[in-house]
Amino acid sequence: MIEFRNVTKKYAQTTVYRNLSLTLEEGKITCLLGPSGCGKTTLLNMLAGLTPYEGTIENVPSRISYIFQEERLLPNLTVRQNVSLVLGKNADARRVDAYLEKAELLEKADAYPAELSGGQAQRVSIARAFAYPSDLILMDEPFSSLDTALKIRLIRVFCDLWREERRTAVFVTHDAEEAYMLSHRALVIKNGSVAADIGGDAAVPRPYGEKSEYKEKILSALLAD
Amino acid sequence: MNALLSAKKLNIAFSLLAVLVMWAGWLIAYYTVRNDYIIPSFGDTMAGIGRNLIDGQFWLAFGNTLLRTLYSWAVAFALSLVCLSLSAWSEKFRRFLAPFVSVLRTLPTMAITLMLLIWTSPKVAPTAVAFLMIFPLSYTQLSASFKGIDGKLIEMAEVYKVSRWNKLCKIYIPLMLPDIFAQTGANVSLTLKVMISAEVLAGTFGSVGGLMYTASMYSRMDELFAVTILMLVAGGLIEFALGNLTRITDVWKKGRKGKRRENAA
Repeated sequence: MIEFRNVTKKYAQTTVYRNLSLTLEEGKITCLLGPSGCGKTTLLNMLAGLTPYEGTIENVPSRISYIFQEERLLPNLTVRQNVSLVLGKNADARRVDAYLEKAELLEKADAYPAELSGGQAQRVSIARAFAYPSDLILMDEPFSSLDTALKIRLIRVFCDLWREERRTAVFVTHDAEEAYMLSHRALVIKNGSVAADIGGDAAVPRPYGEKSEYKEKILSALLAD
Repeated sequence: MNALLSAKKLNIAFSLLAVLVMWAGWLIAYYTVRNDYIIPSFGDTMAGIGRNLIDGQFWLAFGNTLLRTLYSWAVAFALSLVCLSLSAWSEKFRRFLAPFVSVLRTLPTMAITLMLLIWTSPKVAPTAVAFLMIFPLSYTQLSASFKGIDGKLIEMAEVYKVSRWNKLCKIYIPLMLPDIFAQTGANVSLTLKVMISAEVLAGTFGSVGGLMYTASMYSRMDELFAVTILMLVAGGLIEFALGNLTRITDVWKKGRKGKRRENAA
């Protein structure tokens, strides 16, 4: 279990988090929601070691995968090479192809990122995250720039991959529907602290547009002052 | 595709028009001045070009100048890479190097040529001058290219613990290549120009600059114009040939079939 203990994060004159404490359950998908600028991405970056902070975050795995909002693929490498790059010396062509196949990208394995659509590029990003032998997957609004149909498709791709290994995952979104579809637990961040901690039931992914108590609680927490 | 061909045809048309205007200007100037020692005739100059093209001495001189040019450029480029690597590794080194680069960039070419002629020889001085002129430009361009690399890609590499070697070989160097390829032609062409200027001042024997110096000494304007035009063409061909290096990296932007990304799943 990843544990935040009295974590404080400041940017110049702004304090994003003050003495934040929370835990992230292993093997579950936790969603962070909140208004823009509340520090959701900052929390992910603290976990990834990309930004300094005060306090302690315990039990952070040494290997972390990160699915960014933009796909961040190297334009000079093919799809297969982009995934192999993160595996380094241990790059196993069969492993890479296996994940590309699961993400329905095998036929695009030799294509350059410039030849991919936005959805395909984000699928490469997802395949890369799972191909990398990490114990924690972070996602920063990975579906925000996609249309609804594509979003649903990519959430299913992610869940199909996640179900095989059940890695701990934390993802950031401002979309209550995404949070409902994909998470086991939702944390609403407001004013530098956890304003609401909502647990969900049932397996992921949940159907798009379905009515549910979990979704209602998320929405209420987001709309509350 | 049709639009591209039209753009290419338009470029060729405008280039030809520009050449025609320059030729017309030359003719007007010649018939206005009417003095072959100041402005030679078009016919005499073309004859001079023809003479040089079949003269072994010209090709030897051109070969020597070109080799010195490529050598100066290559050393400047290599040193720029080394300095860039050190600057990227150490902020202190970068700050230490900055004033030297500024001084070299603003140094008057003639002044340094004259000094080097006293310190070295007519053969060495032009090579050194060309190196000193091109190094600050090369270093500045490489630095800008390095800083232009998308920090988000580096961040991704940090998260996934990509090794330093892989970062260098698969991220930094490849992502700088498009800029390097785009600038190489112009930089080599500029080095050639500086080299010839320095050779003229130094009177370097067996060089293009030496040929120009001799022609001016004997008031052979037709010969001077002829060699100048030949060097213009050479510089243009070098830029064109090296400019095609960008095709190597164009495949990354357009894919193998020249297609751009479609908006689909």
